[in-house]
Amino acid sequence: MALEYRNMLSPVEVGPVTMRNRIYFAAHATRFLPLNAGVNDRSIAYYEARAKGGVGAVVTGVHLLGPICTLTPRPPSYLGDERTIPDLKRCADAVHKYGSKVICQLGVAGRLGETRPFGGVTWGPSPVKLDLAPMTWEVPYEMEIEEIKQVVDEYAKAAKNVKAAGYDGIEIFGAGGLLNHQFLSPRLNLRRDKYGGSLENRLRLQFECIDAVRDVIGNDMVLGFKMPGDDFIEGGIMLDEAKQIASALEETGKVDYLTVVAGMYIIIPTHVPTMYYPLGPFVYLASEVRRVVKKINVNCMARINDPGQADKIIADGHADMIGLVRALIADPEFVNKARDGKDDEIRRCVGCEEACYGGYRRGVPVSCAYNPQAGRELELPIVPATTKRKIMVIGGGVAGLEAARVAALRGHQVSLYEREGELGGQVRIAAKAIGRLDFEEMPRYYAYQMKLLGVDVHLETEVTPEVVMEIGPDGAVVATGSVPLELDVPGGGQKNVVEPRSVLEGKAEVGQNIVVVAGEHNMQALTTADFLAEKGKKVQVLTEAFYAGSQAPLGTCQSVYTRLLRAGVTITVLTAVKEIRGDTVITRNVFSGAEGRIEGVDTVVAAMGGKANDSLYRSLKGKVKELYAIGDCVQPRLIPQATLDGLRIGTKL
Amino acid sequence: MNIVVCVKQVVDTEHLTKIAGGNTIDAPDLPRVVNTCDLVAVEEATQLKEKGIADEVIAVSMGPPSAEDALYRCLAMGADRALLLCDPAFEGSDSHATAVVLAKAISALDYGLILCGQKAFDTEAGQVGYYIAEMLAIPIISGVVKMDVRSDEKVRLHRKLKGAYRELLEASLPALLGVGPVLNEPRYVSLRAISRAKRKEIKHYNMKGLGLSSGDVGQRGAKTKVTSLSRPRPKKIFVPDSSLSAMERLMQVESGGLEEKEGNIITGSPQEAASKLVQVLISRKALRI
Repeated sequence: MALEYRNMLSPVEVGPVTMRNRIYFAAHATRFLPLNAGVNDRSIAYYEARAKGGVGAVVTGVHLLGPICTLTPRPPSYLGDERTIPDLKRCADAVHKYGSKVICQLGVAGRLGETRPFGGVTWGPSPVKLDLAPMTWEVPYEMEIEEIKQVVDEYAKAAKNVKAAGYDGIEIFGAGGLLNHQFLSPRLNLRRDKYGGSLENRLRLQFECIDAVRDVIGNDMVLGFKMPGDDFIEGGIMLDEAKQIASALEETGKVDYLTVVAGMYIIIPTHVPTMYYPLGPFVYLASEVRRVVKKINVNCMARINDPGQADKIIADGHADMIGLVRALIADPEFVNKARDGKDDEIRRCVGCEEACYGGYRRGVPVSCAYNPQAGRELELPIVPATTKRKIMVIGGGVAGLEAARVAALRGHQVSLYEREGELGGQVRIAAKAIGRLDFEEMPRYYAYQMKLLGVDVHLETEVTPEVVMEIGPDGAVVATGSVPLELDVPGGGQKNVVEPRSVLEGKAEVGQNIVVVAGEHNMQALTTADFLAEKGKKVQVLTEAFYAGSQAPLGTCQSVYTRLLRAGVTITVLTAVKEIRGDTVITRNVFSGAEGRIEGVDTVVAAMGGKANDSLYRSLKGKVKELYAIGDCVQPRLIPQATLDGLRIGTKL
Repeated sequence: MNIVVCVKQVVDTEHLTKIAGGNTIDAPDLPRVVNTCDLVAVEEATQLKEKGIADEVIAVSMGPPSAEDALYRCLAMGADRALLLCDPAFEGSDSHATAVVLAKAISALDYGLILCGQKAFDTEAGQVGYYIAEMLAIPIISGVVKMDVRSDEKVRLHRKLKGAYRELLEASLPALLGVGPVLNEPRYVSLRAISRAKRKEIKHYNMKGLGLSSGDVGQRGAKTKVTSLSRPRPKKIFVPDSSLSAMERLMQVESGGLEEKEGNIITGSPQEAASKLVQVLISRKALRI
């Protein structure tokens, strides 16, 4: 055991079991299977990789229980059904095989239930409206007493099967805006029966669930409760009440640990803090609760991505264990690498959310922007190549870097060529926006991997077809990225029309009155607008879409919008640019056709996205034994797609 | 001149992860070591013997039978003799009761200097040396980081003060000195050296053998009692102001606690300032007119 991270790597007793260290893979919905109810091969491989990677425990889930509505057909691996036990057992065995414990997180969606595909009813304690763009739900049906009892019974039923499957414990999801939290929070629970009103009444459902589960699992299994530390909405739970909740839960004598988290699913960054947040922003909630809790463990979570940070949290007594999610999606071997003194090899989560939570919210299974193998452990394993070959990768952006990394890992002799003086491509530019510096971790990680894996890196090297043919590789991977796409309107070529990359790099001349044309729908336009607003410019954003940044990860979108709107940036939607004439921008409403004029514009930033930079690829066709193109030079997309291209090619070569 | 070294076997606090139960950190299965500062004391005594300043080094410990391991290590390092003061009646001793036992044993020895570790790393009380010195009516100086025995009558030493400050003192011998961890680097002794040391005999003394009675020692001889032992409180951490609205609390979190609140310094002449203050109080609903 390394002397460093001694605290993080020390074992800990959690009720009746001992966990080998303080890190656990906390529960998070993955979309690997419908309604996230249960486990399948894909999720088992995913959990197994983290167990192998050294975590103290894996918490699977949240497994949503019970009927979400009266008409929803039961999903195939619904935990109340005994037929789910074999799959759960396979999962438990896979995790146990590597010395990790496995806990099952159970929860009920309540008002958050996704019923639109099925046309059903969502229920909750009270018919309260609570939304924040873009998180909206129907006002729930007010549950009747016998339906509350049904929920408690569902917990007991599922607990029985989880126990039979050999899990080490159960965690009740009493936070995150799910049903238990809906009953706990005075903002969402306005009931006047014994389940609403006083704190004691709002705790009643929690006690009933805890009793029911404990009765079933007995004393040899762990029972944890994930609880809210601060709802961050008016009229919701705040820290003082959270401390009372924690004490009450401890006093039941039936709970082995509490995990204290923030938020209600309305403000996404409260439970999935974006890159705009400092690291570990909600650790204080666990710390304050731990002060009042006398005996049982208290865990913390959220935006913790570094072993030094984790170790200090434990050393300072803020928590007994730390739930990592994104840190482990990004690098399943986080714990092992920390233990072995290989910190620099850790692929740290940067908090971009592009493929994890951002993907989840768009119905796409969870992965990681620069660990595309996450969630694809079965589909894209990295195995040694049968024949060692000479591979040339042209382009040192994330697509090329991932391809080079994987190819080298598999044993190929890889050389990488990059035109600029540094690796990273567009990601390096993205890092220059306000609050986006974490992106620099990506090129740092890759640069170190290139060194470790013996990839022959050539910087400041322009590659022409002649160069490729002279080198004569067995396989050439072109990853030359994209160039900014022009704003194709009259006046779009004027001197005062610039594009985001040169603005962020400080190369463009910008005036005071700026119009940002958000033609791309991710973060480029918005972060550039933010960058300019921070410099004191007057910024207007125009977009043809229903909202600017409509493809951006939702939490990050909420964060950057908060910044922009506070800074006085205006965002005008459904507006196209018809023409730029001198310092006038002529606009047109996309539905009504009505024209408008914006006068006195010093600079127009045309954030139109990318245009494939594929000339090298096209000129190499037919001249190289094996030729591939990946990333933006095929089609400009986002980081997760670029690295996935890289992984796919790297495993194929 | 003979040197007596007081030694305590403690739980290895490097591996401590929880409170065992009740009011103690001790548990039978935890690894035990010689208290770090006590090893320093043994080393110092041995060096003084090697320089010809001391004649005999006697290691003394009060503890359970397992404390023999601690004493064998001292013998391997260079102590000539070892005494283990062991009796079930000694259990539950606090610093005072421990000092009663040690002082009784030491008073029967011929010594010119007593060296103790300035505190033990399990309880961290640091009191035993003071009690012993009082009972033996000799001077005590603790926190010694450098020492120079001038003769059988005098010792010159540096005592650590706050920060890097040092106090230069001279004491007449016999005296009791509490040594800190930086005084020297205790020598490494191999397992073989320790097992060779096991050929030497450790003399055992029980309560009766020391001429003590049960009222003097153990719980009954203790002047203090541990009423409870709780796990360490978390270090202070930034917590957003709970009087703020939800959005403001979140803003504070997002800015890492550095978000400036609206400036609340009101400037102007007394009349202007008073007027502004009233307006602020009204807007904050602290005042209604």
